[in-house]
Amino acid sequence: MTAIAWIVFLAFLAWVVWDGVKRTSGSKDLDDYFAGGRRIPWWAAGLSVMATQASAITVIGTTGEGHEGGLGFLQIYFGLPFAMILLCVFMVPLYRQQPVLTAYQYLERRFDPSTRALGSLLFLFSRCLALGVVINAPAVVLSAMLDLPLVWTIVVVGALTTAYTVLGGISAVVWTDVKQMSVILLGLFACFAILALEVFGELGILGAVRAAGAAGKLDALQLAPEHVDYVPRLLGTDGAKTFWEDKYNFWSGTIGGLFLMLSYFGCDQSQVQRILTNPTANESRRALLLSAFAKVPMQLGVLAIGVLLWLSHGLGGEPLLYVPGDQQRAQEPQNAARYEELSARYTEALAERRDALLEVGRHDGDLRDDGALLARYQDAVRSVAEIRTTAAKEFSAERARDASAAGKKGDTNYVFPQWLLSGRVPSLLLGLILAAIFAAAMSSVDSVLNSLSAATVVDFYQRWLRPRASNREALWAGRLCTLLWGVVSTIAAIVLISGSSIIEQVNRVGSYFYGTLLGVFVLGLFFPRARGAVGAVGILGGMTSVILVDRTLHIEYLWYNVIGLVGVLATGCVAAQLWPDGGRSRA
Amino acid sequence: MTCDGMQDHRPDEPDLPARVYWLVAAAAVVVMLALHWFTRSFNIPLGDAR
Repeated sequence: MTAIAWIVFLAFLAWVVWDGVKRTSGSKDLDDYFAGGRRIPWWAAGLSVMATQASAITVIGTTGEGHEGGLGFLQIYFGLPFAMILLCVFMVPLYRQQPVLTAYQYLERRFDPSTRALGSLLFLFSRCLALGVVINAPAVVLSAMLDLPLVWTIVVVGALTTAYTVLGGISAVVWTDVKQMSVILLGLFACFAILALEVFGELGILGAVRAAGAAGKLDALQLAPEHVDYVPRLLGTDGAKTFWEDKYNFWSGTIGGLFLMLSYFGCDQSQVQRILTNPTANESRRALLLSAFAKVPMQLGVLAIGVLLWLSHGLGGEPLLYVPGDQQRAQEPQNAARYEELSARYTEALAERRDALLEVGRHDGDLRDDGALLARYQDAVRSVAEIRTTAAKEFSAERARDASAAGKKGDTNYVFPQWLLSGRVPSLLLGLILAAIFAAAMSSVDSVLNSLSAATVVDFYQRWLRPRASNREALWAGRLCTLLWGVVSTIAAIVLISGSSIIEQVNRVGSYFYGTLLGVFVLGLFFPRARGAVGAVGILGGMTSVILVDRTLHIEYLWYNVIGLVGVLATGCVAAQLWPDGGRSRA
Repeated sequence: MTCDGMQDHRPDEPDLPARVYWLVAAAAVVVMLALHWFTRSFNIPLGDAR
């Protein structure tokens, strides 16, 4: 890192923190602190919605995903535009007819206090677990990039974000998110431009598309699933994979993704809070529709950066190992001979891939007609990938700690940072892009901190402990809760350093909740017979369904959203038949 | 104090017209069709050469 890069990076951090802190005096009560006084314009809320979703691991991980797997990851966003339309029609009126401060206040109005408490608890539990990961995952990569101890990187992200969120509330969150999103977009655009100039200069646009396509990197939409057996496999049984185990295809993205997005944007307080900050329901709708229009093109752009980076590596070569810990392990005396052997094979494979890539790039006409060249190219691509996988498995420090950890998978998050630090990016841009990655981390953390605090204060402190608390007291409770959640999440992120298998576990557990949360809102909207504690029974039924499926069948996590929703509706409908008033007095 | 019972600031504002939603849905479908064409035209999965 050069001095210029550090100056740009630190100047950005100072600007964001100052901008957040200066909004301290804007909050007079909880409506100001958690809903920005309902004065925030739709475009700012819309950008904040996008910034919250774009965590640092999205910027780093999605580019890495594009590099390793191509455009296929885009498919999980196909449900998003349709989810936003449904939310505008059904959910926005729920939250805006009687303006609330948390999504779960609706559940008390529609069902009973226990349903609200359970819904809010689900949110607090899942988000609290995930927040540690949201801070930890990018900090691991940032600490490698900035050459800072991991604990200090986590503390800096946690402390700075907590500071301005405590002081400025949701207004600070939204307005810093706007700046952070602008820097993220600018940084990504700069990366795209640098890589495009390099790759298109050598191969031409059509040559680059042909070369990426012939390596299977342009699978943006796969209608035909990879596996066509539709009976899910029981856990612990062998056999061919089924349709339900395809992680990314059109169907899991459009159906599973639709329910995931409905739940995330419609029932997760960290996103719902954004649509509570606008002056009118229509402004809230416009904020959501901004994502509907912009998210798919943005993700396509981020994945395209990964594909361009793969082509750039095809032309200029790439490291055998990306993870710094793995590189150190490969240099140890007992590994040196094997590493040297693999390195020699890798150098040959890279040279063959470069030759074949240049030939494919210059080829005229349909490459499928030249079977020999296509086979040579695909063999070269596979050969490089196989040697990398072998090296990652043999030298993985992560695998040394945990035998079940996948080898090459851990590389994905380091591909983009490695390129940034390879000396091919100008210092000014390096500082900007680092700032963008930091911005993406902070913009996700600040929103979640504020929403955790809102749910704690509004759904529990004010509802059960201090219903008569004054505005001043409630405001201080809000600030204190934000501070506490900031400390808890920073400590959780530090605890997670001990092993990545915990992070995987946390992500998996987090995916249990969304379908269930969405299910209870759908139960409230479309099943008038379900009343009172039937909502709480539905939540328990949804959670049980997801846990049962997770423990018995091989099914990818996107489908859990559908399973949780169906579980709530089935349990809720049966409970409504057996218990018509749901414990509510008919009087 | 909760905000239950508060009125929206402009409760009489008409909802966004339905054509806005149709426009978003149509744009999403067009993008997906374009991506489908792009994938079919240019993508050759690894292994298809054999």
